[in-house]
Amino acid sequence: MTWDASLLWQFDILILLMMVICAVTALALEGLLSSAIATGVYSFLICLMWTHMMAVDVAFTEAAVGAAISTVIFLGTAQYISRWIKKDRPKEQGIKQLTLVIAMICAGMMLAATRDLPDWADTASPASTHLSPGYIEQGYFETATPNVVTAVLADYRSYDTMFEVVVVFAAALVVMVLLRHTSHKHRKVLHLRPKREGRDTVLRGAAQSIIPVMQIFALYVLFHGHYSPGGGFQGGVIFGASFILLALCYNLKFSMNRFKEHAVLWCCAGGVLLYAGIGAACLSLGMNFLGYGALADGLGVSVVMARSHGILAVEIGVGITVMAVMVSLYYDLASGGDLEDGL
Amino acid sequence: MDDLFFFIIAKYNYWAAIVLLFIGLFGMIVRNNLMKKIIGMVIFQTAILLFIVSIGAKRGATVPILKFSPDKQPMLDAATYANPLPHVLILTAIVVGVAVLGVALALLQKIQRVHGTIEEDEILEDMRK
Repeated sequence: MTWDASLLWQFDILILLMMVICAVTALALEGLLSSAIATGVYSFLICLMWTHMMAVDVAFTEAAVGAAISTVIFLGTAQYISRWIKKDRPKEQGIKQLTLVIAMICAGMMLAATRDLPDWADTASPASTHLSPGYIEQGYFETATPNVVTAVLADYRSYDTMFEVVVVFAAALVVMVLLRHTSHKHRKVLHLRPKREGRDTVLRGAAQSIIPVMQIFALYVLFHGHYSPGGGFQGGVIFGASFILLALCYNLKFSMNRFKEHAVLWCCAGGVLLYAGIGAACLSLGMNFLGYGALADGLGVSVVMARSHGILAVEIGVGITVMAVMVSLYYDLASGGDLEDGL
Repeated sequence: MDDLFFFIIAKYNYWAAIVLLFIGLFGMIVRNNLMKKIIGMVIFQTAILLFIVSIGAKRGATVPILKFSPDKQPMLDAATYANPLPHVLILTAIVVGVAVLGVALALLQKIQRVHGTIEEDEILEDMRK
């Protein structure tokens, strides 16, 4: 057996060690804000790891979702909660030792079981020899999409993706139902917070110049997903992040004046409807649900190109929903549900 | 010595995933603070994702975006591209993960509002009253 020098295993091991350290730090720290930041660092490190394993689409998503949006909603929740937190808690008692022993036994058994797994990065492993060569070898001729990940995501496994989008949509609704409250009992508490009227001139100037670029980049990522890493999920998250940046640099109201809450809700539902509507259109034209080939006659292109256009259309649906859901999650979580004043 | 070296090189990614998995699980069980439990859940989840993407890695392979030869024909040697299937599954799992995180944090804020604390023992005390 040989190993390829270009694999840079030293680099890998360094990143993995740093990830373990970050994970332990995030769990061991007492402060909520510092834990949230450590989790963000952990996300950036795993993002490097994924780039190194050539999963660029995954790394892109992780950088936008895991490192940016997750950290922001963690921070939003932490600052909302830490206003009530008591500082002088007794040291934690518990079942630490017993849990540690059991966890270490289970981990040891799983580590022993890795001997039966194929070697890491083995080109002849079962996972890489059965189904996936088919996608790589035929994907281009069936969908005219060089990015195999996009083709599999939005065409071969489009049912999967559609219901993932539905899950994301449902999560936004759940957060809204859980947090929205109209009683005045809590509002009093919230108004104790000093209104933030600082003059963050540098921050606001920077935001003003970066937000249009972010939005154009988001659209580029969405529409160029056939040829480069990217697609609906990444583009949607980046577009949503531009509104979150606006809210962070000015305040929640400022952002909400530009992207009102009912517009957010319409976008949440609209993206899912667009996705499902394309599926239904294919069904009504006599093909399977989400069989984009049915659109060929209507669009006046070949079946292969119709599948390519179908992928783009559902990616736009995904992008709209994901963008609105990210904004909605931020609005609700950062303000504690009353949409008055956020992080 | 070489055998041991190759053994480590061939498996270290899986080991890291398992270690992270149990760090997350341990944090979820042991920490009293519900926010720390959620962070444990996030680490647990990314460990599983790391494991699945590791399965799709190939030695000497590049990103799963087709290259074209000068005469505009795609180069279709499957061994030169990383396995795209785990990437697709993980990509959607990450976005669903942040949605789950949002719901968890919303529940956390609700618990804070109802019980006035997010420490597990204090919540249990408050519920017994």
